[in-house]
Amino acid sequence: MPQYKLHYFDIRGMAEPARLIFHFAGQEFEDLRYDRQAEWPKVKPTSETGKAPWLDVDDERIYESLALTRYLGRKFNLAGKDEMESAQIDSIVDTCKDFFDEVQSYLSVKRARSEGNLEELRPKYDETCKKWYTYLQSRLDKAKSGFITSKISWGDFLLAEGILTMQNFDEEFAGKYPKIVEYKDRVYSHPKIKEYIEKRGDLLY
Amino acid sequence: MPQYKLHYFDLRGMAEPARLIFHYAGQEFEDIRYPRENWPKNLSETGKAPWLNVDDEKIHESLAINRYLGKIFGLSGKDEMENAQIDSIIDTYKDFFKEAQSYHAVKRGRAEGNLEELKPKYDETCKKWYTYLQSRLDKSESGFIASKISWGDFLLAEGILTMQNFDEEFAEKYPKIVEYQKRIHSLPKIKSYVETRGNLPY
Repeated sequence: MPQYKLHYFDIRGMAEPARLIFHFAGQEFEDLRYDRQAEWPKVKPTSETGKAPWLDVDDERIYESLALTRYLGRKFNLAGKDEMESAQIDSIVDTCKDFFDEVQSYLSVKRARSEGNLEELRPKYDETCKKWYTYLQSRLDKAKSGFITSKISWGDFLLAEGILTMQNFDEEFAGKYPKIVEYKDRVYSHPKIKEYIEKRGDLLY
Repeated sequence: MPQYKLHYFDLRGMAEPARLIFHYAGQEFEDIRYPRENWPKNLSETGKAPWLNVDDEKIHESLAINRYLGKIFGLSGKDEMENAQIDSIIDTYKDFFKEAQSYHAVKRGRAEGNLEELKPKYDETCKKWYTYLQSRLDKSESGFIASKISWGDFLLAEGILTMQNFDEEFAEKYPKIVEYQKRIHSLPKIKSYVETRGNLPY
C-alpha cells in the first residue's frame, strides 16, 4: 500500500473531497494542515506551483485539487462505472467550478474577505445560483440514483462540500433549494463517511 | 463505432485539442462550427461550448471531453499516476492562460486597459509558467509532458501557438517551448491537418 500525505490548510476547501475519499475507503493518510500565518510562508516555496493542496503518493507528488481528487476517485472506485460516467463527473464538476468562480466575489464580500456592495452583487449571485442548482437538479433527476452518476462518486463529495459552504454563507439557501440540501445530506449520511462528517468539526469553508 | 459530433465555434480555442485527437486517431467526426454571434445557446445544457455527442450521450466542458477522448484513443498516460500528472499540469496551465488571456484581450483591443501597466505582470506570469512547463518536460525526458504523447500535449501546443500569435517576442524568449509545440504539430498523424486547417489566431 502506498503512503499518502495530503498537504493543505486547516479548512475544508479544496482538500476535503480527498479527505472524504480516504475516509470512505478506510485508507490511512497523513492529513497535514498548515497554519496560514505561522507555517505556510515556509512551506509555500516547497510547492512547485506555489499553491496547495498537493498529494504525496510514496515518492510521487500530485498538485491541483481536481487532479488529485480524480486520481483518488479512480483508485478507490469512486469514479463512475465506465469512462462515459467518469466524463460526466468531470463535466459536472467543471461546470460547478465555473459556478463557484462566479459567486466568489459575492461570497468573499459576505465573508468580509474583500470589499464590496452586497446589495449590488446580490441579483447576479441569485441568478447564478438558480442556473447552477437547476442544472444540478436536472442531472440528479437524470441519474435517478440519488447521485450524479449511477453510484456515489468523488464528484458527489465535492458537490456536497460546496453545498455545505453555500449554506454556511447563505441563510436562505435551504429554503430555496431543499432538494439540493437533501442530496447533500444523503451523501453525508453514507455509512462509510457519516462518522467522520459528524466528528470533523464545523469548518465554515 | 459511435457517432461523434463536436459542437463549437469556428475557432481553435477550447475545441482544437479534441479535433487533433480525432485526426490523430483517424476517427471520423462531425466538426460543427457555430458563428460567434447569435449561436444556438439553448442547444447547450450549460449554455456554453464546446460539447460532444457520443451517440445519444453528451459531454459538456472541454477538459472532460479531451480527457474522455484521450482515454478512448490511447492519448492518455500509461497509468493513473501519469493521468494525474497530465491533469495537474493542464489545471496549472489553465490558471496561467486565464491571466495571459486578459492581457491578450487588451492587446487585441477586445478589452480596455493599459498595456504598459499590464506588461510586467504578464511577463512575470509567462516566465513562471513556461519555466515550470520546461521543468516538467525535462523531468519526463520523452519530449512530452508524460512518457508518450497525450491530449495534454495537444492542448499545450495549441496554447503556445496562440501565445505566438499575440506576442511577437514569444519565440525569442522561449525557443525550447516553441520547439516543443512544433514537435507536437509535426507528428505524422496530425501534420497534414495542422498544415491545412488555416491560421486561426485563437
